[in-house]
Amino acid sequence: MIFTVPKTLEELQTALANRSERFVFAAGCTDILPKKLGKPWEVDEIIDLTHVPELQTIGTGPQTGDYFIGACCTHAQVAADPEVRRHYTALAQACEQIGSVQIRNRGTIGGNVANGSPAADTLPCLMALGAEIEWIDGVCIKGFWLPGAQAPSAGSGTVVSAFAKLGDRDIVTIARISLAVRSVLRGGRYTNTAVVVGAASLQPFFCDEAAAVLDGSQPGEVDREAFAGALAKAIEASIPNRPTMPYKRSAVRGPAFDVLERLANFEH
Amino acid sequence: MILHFILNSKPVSKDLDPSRRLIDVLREDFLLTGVKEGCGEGECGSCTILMDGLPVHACMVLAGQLDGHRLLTIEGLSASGELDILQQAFIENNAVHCGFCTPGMIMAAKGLLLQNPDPTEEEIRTAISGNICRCSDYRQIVMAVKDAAARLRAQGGAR
Ligand SMILES: Cc1cc2nc3c(=O)[nH]c(=O)nc-3n(C[C@@H](O)[C@@H](O)[C@H](O)COP(=O)(O)OP(=O)(O)OC[C@H]3O[C@@H](n4cnc5c(N)ncnc54)[C@H](O)[C@@H]3O)c2cc1C
Ligand code: FES
Ligand code: FES
Repeated sequence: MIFTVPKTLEELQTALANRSERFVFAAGCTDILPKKLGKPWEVDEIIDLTHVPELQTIGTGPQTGDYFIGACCTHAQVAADPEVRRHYTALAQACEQIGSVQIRNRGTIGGNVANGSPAADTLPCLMALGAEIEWIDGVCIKGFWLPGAQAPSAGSGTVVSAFAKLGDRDIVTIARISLAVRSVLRGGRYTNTAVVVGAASLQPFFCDEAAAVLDGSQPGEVDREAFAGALAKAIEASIPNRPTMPYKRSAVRGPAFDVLERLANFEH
Repeated sequence: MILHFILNSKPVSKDLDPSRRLIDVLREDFLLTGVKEGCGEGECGSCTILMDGLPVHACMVLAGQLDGHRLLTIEGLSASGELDILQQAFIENNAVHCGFCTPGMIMAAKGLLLQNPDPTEEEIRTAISGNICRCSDYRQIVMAVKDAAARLRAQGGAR
């Protein structure tokens, strides 16, 4: 077994150029080690990502005002970042609910996305917030760019966002349904809303019908039933033949009401 | 692979198979058997140790990732020969029954008190929400952590 520990971006690039055919990245290992439990490694090389400082940085880009979150930032780090809490609230709310303290101290945002579980909590948030992935060599996520708070899409308004999930219990729980909402408050009304449904089907998806219910409404005065109804219809259409469909279609009311309440209580 | 790290306040340089899990290295190579394996998949918390002061699962770290890190296991808490205040508080509050979860529970609590010397009950419950105890009573565990926090504050903060 080859174990490579790049300590700089250049060393990582070299490692990627020389990588074995069967390799895996090791970041927080909270997905790879439970999967491997009791079995031998099925790879010839492990490339550690936790010693490259550039993958752990978080901050504003030099020119655009866009915000960069390195792939190896842990969930705890993302959840605690004041700028994320303020401008990308949905993501902070998702990260602070992931697993337990121990999982949040190890698990990374890049690993969460790359692992691609339907229940990954950061994915719907990153989609709703309009994040873009920066790659290294097309295989390693360097990090995520989130549009700056002053981005043209926000115009003169204030970007607000929220996340809510439904699991089997309140904490340390894997999502059965998750919802991420991002909107722009302009003149006291929601505009340009994006709603993403996670965990309901194999991939998170945008629900434009639910977004349309918010657009034009004032916080606290959204038609909650219409919002939940649009989500229920979208879930029904996305997993028509799944045995869990009837449950998810009706259970979506819970996170739907929660996410609206969180959005209305948004404070800068 | 030769790895350099700090284990229970002592610098260590050791030739280790980097693809092994930290929990196995601690238990088998360093005989630190206070690090317990309940599930091996991040669910039970019994393998909790502190890495750079933060609670993590030793079953979720690879040996090859250890370079430059500072590790503290339950054994490191009483390295001076005296029990840590948290250990004393667990005993005095009857928070230990079979004891299997206890080292992980105490290390999760240690991580909390290092960051927050005056936690609320909710903060304590959140800090140990990833630690499962199957035979004791969470109320006694929470009381023990509260008690330890109060004693530590009286002494001027967590060590
Ligand atoms: C007990 C427990 C509870 C959990 N609870 C939740 C939860 O509530 N919500 C949730 O969303 N998730 C949850 N998870 C899963 C979550 O911890 C992971 O998805 C985590 O974020 C993965 O990150 P990692 O750094 O640990 O990835 P690793 O396990 O290190 O890697 C996972 C995969 O991603 C790849 N990878 C890692 N980093 C990169 C990169 N930069 N570029 C390309 N590929 C990369 C690896 O090759 C590997 O295939 C839980 C896990 C456990 C064990
Ligand atoms: S053994 Fe590590 S969390 Fe259960
Ligand atoms: S004391 Fe037995 S599992 Fe907690």
